[in-house]
Amino acid sequence: MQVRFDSVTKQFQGKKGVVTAVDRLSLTIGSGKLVGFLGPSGCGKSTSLLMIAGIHPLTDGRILFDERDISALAPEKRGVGMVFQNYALYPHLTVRQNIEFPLVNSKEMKRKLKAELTETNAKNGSNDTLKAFVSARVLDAANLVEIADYLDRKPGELSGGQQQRVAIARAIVKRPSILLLDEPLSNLDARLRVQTREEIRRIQRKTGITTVFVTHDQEEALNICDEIAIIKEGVLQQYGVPQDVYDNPANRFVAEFLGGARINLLPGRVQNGALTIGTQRFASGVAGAEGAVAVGIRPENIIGCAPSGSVPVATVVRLTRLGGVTTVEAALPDGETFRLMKENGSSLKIGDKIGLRVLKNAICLFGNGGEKLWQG
Amino acid sequence: MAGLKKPRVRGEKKYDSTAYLYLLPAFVLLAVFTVYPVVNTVVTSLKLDYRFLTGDFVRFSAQHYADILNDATFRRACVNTAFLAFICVPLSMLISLIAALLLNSVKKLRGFFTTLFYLPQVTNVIAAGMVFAFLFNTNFGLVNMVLGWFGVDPVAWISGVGIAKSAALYNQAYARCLFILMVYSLWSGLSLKVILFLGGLQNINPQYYQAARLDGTSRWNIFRKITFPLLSPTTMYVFITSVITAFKAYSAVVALFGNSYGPIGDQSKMMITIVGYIIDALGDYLSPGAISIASAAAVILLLIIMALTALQLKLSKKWVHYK
Repeated sequence: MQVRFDSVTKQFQGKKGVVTAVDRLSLTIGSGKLVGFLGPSGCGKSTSLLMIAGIHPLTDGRILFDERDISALAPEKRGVGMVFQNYALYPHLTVRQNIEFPLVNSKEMKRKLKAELTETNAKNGSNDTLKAFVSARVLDAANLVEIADYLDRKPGELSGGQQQRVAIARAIVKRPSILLLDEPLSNLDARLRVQTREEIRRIQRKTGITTVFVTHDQEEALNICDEIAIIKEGVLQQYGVPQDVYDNPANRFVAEFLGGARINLLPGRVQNGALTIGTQRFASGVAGAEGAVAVGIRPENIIGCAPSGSVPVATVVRLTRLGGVTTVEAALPDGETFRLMKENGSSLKIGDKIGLRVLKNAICLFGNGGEKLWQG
Repeated sequence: MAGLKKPRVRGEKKYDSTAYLYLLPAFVLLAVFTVYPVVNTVVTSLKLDYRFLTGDFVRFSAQHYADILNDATFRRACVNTAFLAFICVPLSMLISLIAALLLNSVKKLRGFFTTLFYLPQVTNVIAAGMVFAFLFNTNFGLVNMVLGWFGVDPVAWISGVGIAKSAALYNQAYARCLFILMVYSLWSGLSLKVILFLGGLQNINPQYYQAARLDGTSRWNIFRKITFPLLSPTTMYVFITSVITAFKAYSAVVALFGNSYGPIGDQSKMMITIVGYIIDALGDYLSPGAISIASAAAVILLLIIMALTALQLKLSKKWVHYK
């Protein structure tokens, strides 16, 4: 099911006046895709998620499911499954009772299940009761998330990762048309985070449910999402395929936000199409920019080579080793430092002169307001 | 510290005798003001015809217990106290819970209404009781005035006319007095319970409700399967403390019905409670046996409360959920 945001705005009444949490957000989430809403804390991504769920009403704009305007539809009628940040598992119920909760507590759900049951019974010539049908569904969901061994435990007896899986099972047991996850990995430790995000991708691929999840961790978003939306202060910055957004950031914020190693951002100057940082020339044929600019180059896109006249030359001032990666800080003659990666095995040391060869299309020029002026 | 004794080793733990020294003041206070009086009361209750001034008594005997249990007035006191504890308390809890649920769902005037509900807690029991008694005054009371609007004849609420002779009239008077007591008890019990329930409700993470809403859960089911179970520790606390308070009822009854625990013309101490019985028995504490009887009644009260609380705690394991 496709989800479309049409100029959606959400405002809250705060103590000091009106706070705009989401500002004219417009984007389209394709059916069956795993999409991430990414951004710093307080940027409005959770609010957007809750508006899809119907928990927050919209101040303005529309949200459409398969081109049907559901902005005014009650949450329980939207067919949304949601995993909350703290899982919201009912502590007094067992895992089994938690997972079957959506199926047994709503008259409408009961009616729907009964209809499905009669259909399946007719098709298979079987005579299952509603109770057995519900049980089977619960078991299916539990098996999908691999929590079937813990069905009779209470949430308090499970680890964080296991609780997470129960929460996912509870969300998908009612076969929702859209699955929402609010910062699903933020309560887990690093290793578990990697494991669980793969789980989420696996489950999403298997069920094919359109899934949106919210996170402030760009690594997980880049890793598993089909498409990501970068949001800042309620405004959409960029929407697209992760690698695309990474390689071709729409503005300075996106360029700085993404990237395990922070992007190099240095003041530069464009004159007659030539880009210089300090006294060294970095590019020519620049169009659309003139005068003082901010230059963004990712560390991994700078290759250290033998110093020669055709590339900018810098002196190594610092080597930082972290695990398996060594970051080199090299300074241009007039003081600006670049960060780049060093291959394991190269014998670079402090004080060495190094040539900076920048890969094609790796230089981004940003103006005063952070807008991208040129990339090449 | 040179004067320190070597720590004793018992199994794997070591006990340093200075620890006991630090605990001594608390122990002494407890012993003098709690343990000793209780033990003394139990012992005194078994001393036949104890004389307060001289300390003389006839012999050790459980006679006083037998006398009390055979006393019709004591049985009436038990009935009245049970009425408060097992009818008024549950009713009061139900009303408070509903009030707390309502208060929890409004944002605007919550502070105002909460203050309103809490007022009984800060009023003086005697004053409030007297006002209540006046509300039910036959000629000038507010209740009769309102009844009059609906065409109902004024009811002689707290009246002992003719009860000495007719059993039927006595029972009617008794019923009316119980009703008055119930209204007062509900009014005064509401305040603290509402605050406690409200606190308990606000401790429930709203994400539970959001999750349940998304699943289309009906409001009744939300209450039954989420709110009530998560509120159960608070409910337990309110229930146990309210029952204990009900068993200690005395000043309310005196404020409503006077020192003779009943309407004028009533010789039977109609509305007496167990504590009232103890105080009456104590009456003139110099006369022989007065203190023994009062002590015996106090011990009986203690045993009842302990037994009830133990029962409540045992039952709580089934329906109370602690996180």
